[in-house]
Amino acid sequence: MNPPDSLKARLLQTARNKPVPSRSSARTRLAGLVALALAMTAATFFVMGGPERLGARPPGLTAAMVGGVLGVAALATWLAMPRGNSMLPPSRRLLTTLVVATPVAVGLWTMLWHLSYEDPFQRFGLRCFALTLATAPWPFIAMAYLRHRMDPVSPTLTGAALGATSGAWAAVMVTLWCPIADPGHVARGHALPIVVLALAGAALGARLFRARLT
Amino acid sequence: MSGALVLTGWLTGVVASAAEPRVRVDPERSAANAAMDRYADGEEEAFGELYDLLAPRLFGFASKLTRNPTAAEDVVQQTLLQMHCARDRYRRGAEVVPWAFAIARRLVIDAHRRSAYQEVLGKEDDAEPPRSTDDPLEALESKRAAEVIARTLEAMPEGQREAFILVREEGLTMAEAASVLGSTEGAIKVRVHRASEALKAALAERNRSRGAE
Repeated sequence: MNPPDSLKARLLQTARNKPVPSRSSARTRLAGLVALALAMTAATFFVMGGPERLGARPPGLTAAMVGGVLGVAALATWLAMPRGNSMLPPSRRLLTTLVVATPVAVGLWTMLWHLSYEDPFQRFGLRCFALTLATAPWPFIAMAYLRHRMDPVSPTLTGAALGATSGAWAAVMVTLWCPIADPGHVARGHALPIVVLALAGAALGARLFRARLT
Repeated sequence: MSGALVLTGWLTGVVASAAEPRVRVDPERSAANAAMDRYADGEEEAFGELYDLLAPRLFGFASKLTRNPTAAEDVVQQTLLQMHCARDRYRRGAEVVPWAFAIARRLVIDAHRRSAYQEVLGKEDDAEPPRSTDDPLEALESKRAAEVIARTLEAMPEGQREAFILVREEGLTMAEAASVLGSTEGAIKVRVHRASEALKAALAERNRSRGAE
């Protein structure tokens, strides 16, 4: 069963009229987006007085807490993207697990250190919440660039997973910035914004990631 | 206890789905992967080669889902254009065929949703002509068998039909079909098995009625 001969000529002409750069330029663009995300995150950290807050907690504990959240963010990124020789998204089951587990893992890991040291002060968690929301769009943009209109299977779940993953990357900076490990504060200021970001990612997912008729 | 079992089952599925999908070795697929790789690297001529390798399969697949050659042609064009637009982000060595089928399927669903093809969906199937043969009786028989298969496929739930076409006709592995359809390998196995059983039953019924004539 073959399509009509005229289709090939038409398609090649349309492709010529709508040029798309090759893979090497995408690598450069992605590197630029990652650098921008890192720069914006670092700038936010410094503007919010991050360096002064670093001494509020024993340095070893800070390294362990930030390292754990960094591990969660890296694992979430690896799981949310297509792997091996597939261009298709991971299974819905895996993406759903990722969306649920990411805020839980970030929250539990931070709370785990609650009894290891005395919190230097108490806060409700609003600033941590806002800081996570303000930082997360940068890693989200870098990851969304890779998956933009590339998901014909589960774009909404991909959006939710990338939202949660970008929240985990933002949580790395917030964990470095905030010395409080009180469970209530962590739940409100560190884990809840990741849930919000997952929901926002889901809302944007169909629009951003879905392969659709042009 | 049952909660723990459900959680264990869920996590087992998550671990299994995190593994890389198995791939069937097929020279045509390898050629398509290589063509897409060259196209992603900037070799413009490779797109025509990719068209030659994929378009007939995509057209067959879309024709079976839309029951309309014009709509199928549109789906082929749009699928390959999507691949063209994504060429800068194509991962080196990735499998093109399951990706192409997943895009085509999504476009068919979108088109149905937009009701763009509603008018033609109701028409009789004019997609695939019967295979030519020298014996007119044999030709008639094969045409009738093809009609029975087409009718049975059309009467199946959509998920079963798609799984059957992808696995039995297009040669995707169960894992690949699961990725394309956003389902689990186990569910695909069940759907393909049920579809095969339904087709066997329909053909057996036809043979019985022929014997009775």
